[in-house]
Amino acid sequence: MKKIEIFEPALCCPTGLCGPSVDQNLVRLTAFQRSVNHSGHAMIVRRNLAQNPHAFARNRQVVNLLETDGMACLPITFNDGKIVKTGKYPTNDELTAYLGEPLAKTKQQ
Amino acid sequence: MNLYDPLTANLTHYLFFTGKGGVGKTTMATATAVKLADAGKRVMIVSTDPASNLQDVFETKLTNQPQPVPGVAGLDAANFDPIVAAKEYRDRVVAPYRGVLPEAAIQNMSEQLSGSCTVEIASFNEFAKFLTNPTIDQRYDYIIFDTAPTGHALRMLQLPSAWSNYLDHNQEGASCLGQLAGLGKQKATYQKAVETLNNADLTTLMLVTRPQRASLIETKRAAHELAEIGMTNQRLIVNGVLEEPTDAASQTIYGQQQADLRDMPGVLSQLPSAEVPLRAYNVTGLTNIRALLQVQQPTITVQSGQHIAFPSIDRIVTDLIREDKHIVFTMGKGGVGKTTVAVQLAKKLSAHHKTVHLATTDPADHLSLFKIDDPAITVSHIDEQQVLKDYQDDVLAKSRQTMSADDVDYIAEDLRSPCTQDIAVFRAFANVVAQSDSDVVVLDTAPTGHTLLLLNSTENYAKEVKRTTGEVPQAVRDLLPRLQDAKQTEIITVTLPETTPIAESLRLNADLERAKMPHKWWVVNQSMLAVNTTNSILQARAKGEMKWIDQVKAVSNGYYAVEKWQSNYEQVNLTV
Repeated sequence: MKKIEIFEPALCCPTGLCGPSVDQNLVRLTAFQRSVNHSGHAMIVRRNLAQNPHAFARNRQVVNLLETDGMACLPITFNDGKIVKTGKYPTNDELTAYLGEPLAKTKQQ
Repeated sequence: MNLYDPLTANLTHYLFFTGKGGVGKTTMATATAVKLADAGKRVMIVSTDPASNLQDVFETKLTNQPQPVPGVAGLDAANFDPIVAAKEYRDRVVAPYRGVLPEAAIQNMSEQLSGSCTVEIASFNEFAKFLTNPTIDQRYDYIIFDTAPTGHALRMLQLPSAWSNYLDHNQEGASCLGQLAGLGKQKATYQKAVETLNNADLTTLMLVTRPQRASLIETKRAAHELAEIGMTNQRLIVNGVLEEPTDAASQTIYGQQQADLRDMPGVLSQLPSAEVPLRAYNVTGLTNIRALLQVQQPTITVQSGQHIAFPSIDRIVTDLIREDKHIVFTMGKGGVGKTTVAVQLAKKLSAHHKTVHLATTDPADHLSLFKIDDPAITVSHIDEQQVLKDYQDDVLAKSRQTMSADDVDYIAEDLRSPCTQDIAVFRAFANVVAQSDSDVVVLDTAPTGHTLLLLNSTENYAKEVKRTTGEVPQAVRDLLPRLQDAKQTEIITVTLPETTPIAESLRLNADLERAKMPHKWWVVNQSMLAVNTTNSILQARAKGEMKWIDQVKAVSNGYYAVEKWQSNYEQVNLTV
């Protein structure tokens, strides 16, 4: 199964709502993630520094990037194990591209 | 009203004492436990109050495992500090990654795990254990919880139903609850805890209040909110009723107490209620605990009425003017009189020819008492509930444009997080500060260090990546650096000369320290020591305050003031 993995800074909740402001980006991402994951054809996994530090420490590429670029490298997006984006969340279009056309079509909206 | 007697009160298996800091929850819970044990019952008392003095009261070291209390056959006690537990949890989570992940990442993790969510989850975890353990259930006739002060207790007790929903709906894993790993596995335990809390045959909520209007209003709120989540079996205990006035000061107190009790909110007057008289001693040690609920009281040895002069808040005002402060917060837990101190400061600053904007978060019940004649003082009101609701509505409205109903529900769930409220209020007072053109802005509430650090780290992160995450409003971004600037800002700690309020204030101060927020001054409010009285009970009470005032004097390096007790302080002090 196709797997997209996103390493994010520490957040209280995945929507970022309990942060200082509403990050529409996170709200959008959460919705997209839910629709993809509920389809059962692909998986978007999010690793949050506060809750999944082990996933960060275990991933050599993530640790290296954090050491060279600092926190600014987060979020880091992996597509099937390869880094495809750093420093910003992927857009829905980008996620659609990572997932491949036919699969993503059903997930949009 | 009848005297409180646990033996005739027809108590349930589980008892929860609740009330805001300083009303005497621990005292009531302890006296109840000892009385029942002395009557031959098997009793356990569990303290989950971070400010608990259960160990001092019993003069023995306690742990989170029940152990016998020396001198009371049949009574076991356990003590659990959720703040310590949360810290242990945080250290356990962070430790393995030191040296593995960069320092910035460690800090980011650490701060996210320092919030109220972690503390509340840690406490509820422990709380549920005691509530659902079959051995404990069978071994004891009564299981008594001395819960934390109201705001905290409310959340903690409200959590079960909120959490059950969380666990049902939140399959993505990470949420506020994600903070304790493996929490989902305990769903059955939590469900059982919720059922027990809501079972009127098993559980009673013991609402402890002082015979004062503000305390009664607070208690009404707690009673209402807890009834809403299903804890409908409630009783009222009025603690500290003065029985025999002997001089002018005690006559005033007596009159005020009786009037406030007569005007008690209707919801409370319908509850079964009982009273405990004001005693001349502090309730520590078994002798005093046993005496508290007896009709026959020990004779009082009257101290010579030495009158001590304490510094007044005029000192603080002079200092604020000399240092030309622009933003002044009064900080403290509910019930310490933050608003009355804020109003006093506003009036005194105005008398020194400053224009003042006073922003209050005091619930609307008090708002009618503000009478503004002074053109140099403007007043605005931040309704915390409304601010939170606006924020929630705003988010939900935006979400509905792009999301399915299912997803909107999910967002609504995250908006129940306790951190959301702190942030929403902070945004509101950032607006007040930004819009004010007065010389000084006085606010009767302050952000916690944790809120500030969260905002700060987001702001730093935003700078680092040269963009903002989300839309941090300009007013918030402008306010952050000003708050840490001691040239403009002062956060005044308001407290009462009693065990719990002092412990709570010290914790809030440690938080400010962590966030490097300027906080020099302390106000000890409602001091009986500063009142002239010959009433022996009042004199004895006043003497008990001395150690707390001394402690404040020490921790503040002498930057403190003492405000004397006033019976009608709301009417007097909330009039601008």
